[in-house]
Amino acid sequence: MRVLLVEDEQPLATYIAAGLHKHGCAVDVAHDGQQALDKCEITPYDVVVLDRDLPVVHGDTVCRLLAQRFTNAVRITVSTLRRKLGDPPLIETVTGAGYRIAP
Amino acid sequence: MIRRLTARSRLALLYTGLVLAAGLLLTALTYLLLFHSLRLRIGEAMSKLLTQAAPALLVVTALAGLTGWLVAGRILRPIRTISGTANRLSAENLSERVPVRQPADELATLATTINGMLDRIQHGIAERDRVLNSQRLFVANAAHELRTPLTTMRTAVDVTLDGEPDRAELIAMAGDIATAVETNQRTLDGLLVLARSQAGPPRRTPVDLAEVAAATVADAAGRAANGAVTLQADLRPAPASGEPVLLERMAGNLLENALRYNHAGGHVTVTSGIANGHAFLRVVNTGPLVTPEEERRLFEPFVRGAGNGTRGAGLGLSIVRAVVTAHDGEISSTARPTGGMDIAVHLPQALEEAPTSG
Repeated sequence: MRVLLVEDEQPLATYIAAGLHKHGCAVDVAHDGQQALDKCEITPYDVVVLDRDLPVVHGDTVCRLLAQRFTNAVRITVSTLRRKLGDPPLIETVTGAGYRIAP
Repeated sequence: MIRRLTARSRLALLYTGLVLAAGLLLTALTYLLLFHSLRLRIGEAMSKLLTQAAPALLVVTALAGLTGWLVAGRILRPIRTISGTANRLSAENLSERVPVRQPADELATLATTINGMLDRIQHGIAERDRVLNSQRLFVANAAHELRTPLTTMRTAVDVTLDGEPDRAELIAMAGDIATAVETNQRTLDGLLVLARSQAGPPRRTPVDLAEVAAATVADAAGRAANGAVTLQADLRPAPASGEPVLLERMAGNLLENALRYNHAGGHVTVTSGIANGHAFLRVVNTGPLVTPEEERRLFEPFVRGAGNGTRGAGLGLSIVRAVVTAHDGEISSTARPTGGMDIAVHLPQALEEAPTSG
C-alpha cells in the first residue's frame, strides 16, 4: 500500500515511516504542505497521513484541496497534536500518539 | 427659551414663579373677599376674612405644590434616564451611553461624566479579555511544544518494539529518546525563566552590562567558531541595576539568537555603553533576510525563524523581552536591509550612590 506521510517534525516522521514500513507499506514523506500537494500530483497514494500544523501550506488546506481533487481515490487520516480551542473537527481525528493502519 | 437655561436657573425660576403666582392668587382672593366683606361691618368683615382666607391659602399652596412637583419632575428627568441606563448596562452589554441634552448644565455634565466612566470601563474589560486570550494561547502553545517530543518518544518506543528489535535499533531508540527529553527540559527551563522574569520587580544589585556581555561573549566563542561566524565586541561600561542571573540570561539569549540565525562567514557585533542616560547592550548580526511578518512576531513565545541547524526552545527572545520589561527597560529591534537583525536593550542607568557621611 502506498502511503504519503506529511509531518514536519523530523524524528517523528522517521519513526512513523519506519513503523508503516514494517507493516508492508511503501512510504513517502513530505515535510510541508506544499511538498505534500506536489507529491500527490505525481504519485497516486492509497492513504495520506496528514499532520495539521504544517509550514508553507497548512494541513487543513491540504486536506481540503486533496479532497476536492481526488474525491474517492484517497483515504486521508488526519493526525494532529493540537486541538485548537473551538476548531470544528475536519474529519476523523487521530491523536499523534497512536495510529491505526487501515487494511 | 426655557430650554437654554441651566437646571439650577430653571428650578429657581420655578420657585420664583410659583411664589409669584401664589402671591398673586392670594392677593386676588383677599381683594375679592374684602370687596364682598366691605359691605358688612368691620368686625364681621375681619372674622369672615380670616375664615375665608385660610382655605384660600391652603388651596393655593396645594396648587403650588402640585405644579412644582410636576415641573420639577420634568427638570430632573435626566437623572432618571441616567439611572435607567446604568441599570441596563452589564458586563456583557457596555455599549449603551446616556443621552446628553442641551443646555450644557449640571445634568449634562453628569451624563457626560458617566459616559466617560463607561468608556473607561469598557476599555478595561476589552484589555482584560485580550490578556486572557493571549494567556490561553500561550498555554496552548506551551502544551503543544512539550507534547511534540513526548509523541516522538512514544512513537519511537512503539515502532522499535513492534517486532524483534536488534541492539542497534534499541540504541538508536535510546538516543532519540534522550534528545527528545533534552528538548523538553530546555523548553521547561525556558518557561520557568519566563515565569520568573514576569513574576515581579527583580532584586536590584549593581550590574555592569559590559561585564555581563563580556562573559557571554567568552562563552559563545566556541559556538561562533563552529558556525564560522566572527564574533566582535566593543564594550564600554554600562552600569545598570537588576538581577544578575536574569540579565545574564538575557544577554545569553540575545547572543544565541544572533549566532543561530546567521550564516557561515557572517559576523556578530556586541556593543555596550551609555547613551541618553540609558545603559545599553546592542547585538547586531548578519544572516538571512527577516520578513516584516517575522519581525513583527520576533519576540513572541514559540515563534521561530528559519535557523541554521539546532532548533531552540523558541522562548529566547520572549525571555529577553520579559527581563527587559521587568527591569523597566526598552527594546528596539530593526531588521537589517542586508539580512539579520539589530537588537538593542536599554536599561535605566544606575546612578552612583553618594558616599554616606560618617
